Amino acid sequence: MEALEEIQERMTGCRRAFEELKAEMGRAVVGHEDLIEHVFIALVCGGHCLLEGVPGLGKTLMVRSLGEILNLSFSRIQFTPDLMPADITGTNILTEDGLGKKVFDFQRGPIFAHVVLADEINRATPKTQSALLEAMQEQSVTVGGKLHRLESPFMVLATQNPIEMEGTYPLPEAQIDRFFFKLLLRYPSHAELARIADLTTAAPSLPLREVLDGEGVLRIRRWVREVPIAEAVKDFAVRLVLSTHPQGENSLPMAQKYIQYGSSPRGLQSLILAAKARALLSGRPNVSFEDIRAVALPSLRHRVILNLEADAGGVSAETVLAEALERVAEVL
Amino acid sequence: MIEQEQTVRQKISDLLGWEWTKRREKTLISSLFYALLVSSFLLPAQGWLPLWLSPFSVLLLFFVIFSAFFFLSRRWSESDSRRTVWLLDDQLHLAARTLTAREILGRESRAPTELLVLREAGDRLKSVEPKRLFKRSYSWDFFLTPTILVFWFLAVWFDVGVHTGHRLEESGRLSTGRKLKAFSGEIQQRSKTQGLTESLKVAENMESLAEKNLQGQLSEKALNENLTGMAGKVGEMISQSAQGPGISPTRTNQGELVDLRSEIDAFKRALPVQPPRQAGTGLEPDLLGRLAALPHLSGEVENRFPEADKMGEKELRDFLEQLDRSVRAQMDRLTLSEIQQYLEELAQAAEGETLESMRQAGREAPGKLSEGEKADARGSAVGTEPGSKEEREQALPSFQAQAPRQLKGRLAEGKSRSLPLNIEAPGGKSKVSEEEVIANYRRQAEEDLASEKIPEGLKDTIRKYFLSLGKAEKQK
Repeated sequence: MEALEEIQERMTGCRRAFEELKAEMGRAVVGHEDLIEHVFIALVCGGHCLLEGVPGLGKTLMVRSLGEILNLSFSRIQFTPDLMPADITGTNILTEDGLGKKVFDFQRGPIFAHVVLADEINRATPKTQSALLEAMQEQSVTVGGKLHRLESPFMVLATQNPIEMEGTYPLPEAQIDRFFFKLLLRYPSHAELARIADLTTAAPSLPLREVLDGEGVLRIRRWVREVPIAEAVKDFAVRLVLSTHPQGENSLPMAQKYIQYGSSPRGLQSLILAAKARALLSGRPNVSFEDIRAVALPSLRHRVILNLEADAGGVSAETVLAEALERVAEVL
Repeated sequence: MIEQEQTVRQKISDLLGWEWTKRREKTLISSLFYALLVSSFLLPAQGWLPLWLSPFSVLLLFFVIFSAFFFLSRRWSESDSRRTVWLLDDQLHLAARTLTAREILGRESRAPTELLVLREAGDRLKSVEPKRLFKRSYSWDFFLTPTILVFWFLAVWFDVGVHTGHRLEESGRLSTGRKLKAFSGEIQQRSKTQGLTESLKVAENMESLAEKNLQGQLSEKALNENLTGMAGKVGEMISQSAQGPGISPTRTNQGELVDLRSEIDAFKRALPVQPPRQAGTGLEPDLLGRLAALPHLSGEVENRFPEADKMGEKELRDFLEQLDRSVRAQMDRLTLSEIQQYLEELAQAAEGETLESMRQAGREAPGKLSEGEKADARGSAVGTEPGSKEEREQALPSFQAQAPRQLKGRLAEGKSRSLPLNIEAPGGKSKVSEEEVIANYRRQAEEDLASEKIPEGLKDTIRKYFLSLGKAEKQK
């Protein structure tokens, strides 16, 4: 059994690594501190993120910077309507071996990277989108009946544009549910915008420093699962998820009115795991109620399917979840 | 680690104990509040409740009921413990450390990170004082309870409520036992003070009977029979005891006898501590003077020794002892006589009431009472009907021991005036005669003269003044 001092040192190390990561990211990405935190939480939890925001808010920059800082391989896939699944996973091509014999050789697609940016994912056809499903869930792809493992850590960061709906293919619920977090990018503030102008129009700065490698990420992944959570805190998370179910006993009036389908069990898993990661990155050995609250929106907002009445009334999933966070008592 | 673990365990235990105490206090206050509230609302209906259910009993009963209800409904549960620990975390910004630590304490095996939680919780809880952190908070019922308590006391004090016949009937039914108990108490007190052995025994028997009746072990009928029997026995005791020697046969007044005993005691105290060795040496002039100041005793001495100045001190001492015994026996006899009379009256009144209640219930007791007796039993109060509350109260003799029933005196200088009173004055002489008053004052003066309170030079003057009062009375 590890000594307590080692555990304490581990906690401190995690916190320090995260602080360094944030500081380094801050050199390339202006603002979006909470977004960076959530992306890192998803990474150390082994999850994938769906980023939603208008073009030009720095989604691609952030993902690329993350790859650089973590010394992980990075690839970008621009999703278009004519994109084929093989363009993502890779394909078998006919080549000659050393003896001149014709053989099929598997040509890896861009999915074979640690960090994959699926840009404007909703522009591709459902068939192509579903090519990501196996990779996201099983961390493997099957081409020509042969299974190909993806390297760990593996993370998909998909983006989608909320304003251009023409010629897009909304992601199916099953695929949306596989995303650990759905993160919303907001417009930068006045000060942030001024700083972006300074950063992008001046001489290029020094390249980003590597603060954590793939091994380090995998180590933190293991430690995240060791963080203890009290029954009362877990109970709060469960009640929070149940409150989004319109037919549930503990559902809220707002949920009954505006929600068609509540969060899946994956929502609860995401909620608790993300809370554990948040506690660890804060240098705390246990999960608090505040951790659950902090990760509730990114964990549940894409898992709550609203009905037509909500659409008509302009009620968003965030509104319903904010109501749930306010109404659900931490301890009964 | 053991230290932090112990700290967490101890602090959580202290916290839960303290919160439990606060819960109990709040429950008791709530119970008292609601008991007072319901009791206050029930006060007007007190008349319909049984006699034994006094306002205090009602309050106590509701207090017990509400306490049981609240203690059951607000009993301490696991969720209360969890909530309390959560509040501690919230108050100290411990980010659920104590909650987690509490669960970890209940586990047998602990992971390293769990031990770390225990350690951090222990370190942060070390200086925490639950009593200081979670002080008592008072709810609205705590502030309202004193007000409603005062209201309830006032209502009870001023006897707010409807007085129904039901309660009065019950009160009348029990009045025989109660009166007997009150009378026996009075006699016991008097007997103990005055050393009346026979009266004391009888009074104790009376009290025992009264208690049995009040507790329902003895019916009214049986009580009446016992009262009659006891009156007979007391009569036999009186006839068996003869008046002792050395006391004037005219002394049949209890007050006179009391005065005589007081004078004997006062004179005994005035006698020298060492008795004389020789008999018939004659009394000191000082003693003779003191004896002359005590009218009852000097009368008895004159009866026994016509030439008092030749009487020796030893003879006087013997005589005083004998006289004291005789006086006590006479007082005992008079008290017994008083008891007998009271018992007879009580039995008679109780029997009359029983017949009256039977008549009211439509069950006449043929042949039991003559027409005259029935008339007596109905009472003679003007404007009352037979069987009413006033009649029953008059039917039972009320005992007022030694209470003066008539007052004498002058309102101002000049001619005497009288005040018309709307009550029936009892016949006979005044209980407190002028002689008794003078004797009382004289006795008191003698006691004071024997003490050192009065200067020596004034003692003779005072003694002469009281002697002159006695002589003036005799001349009258």
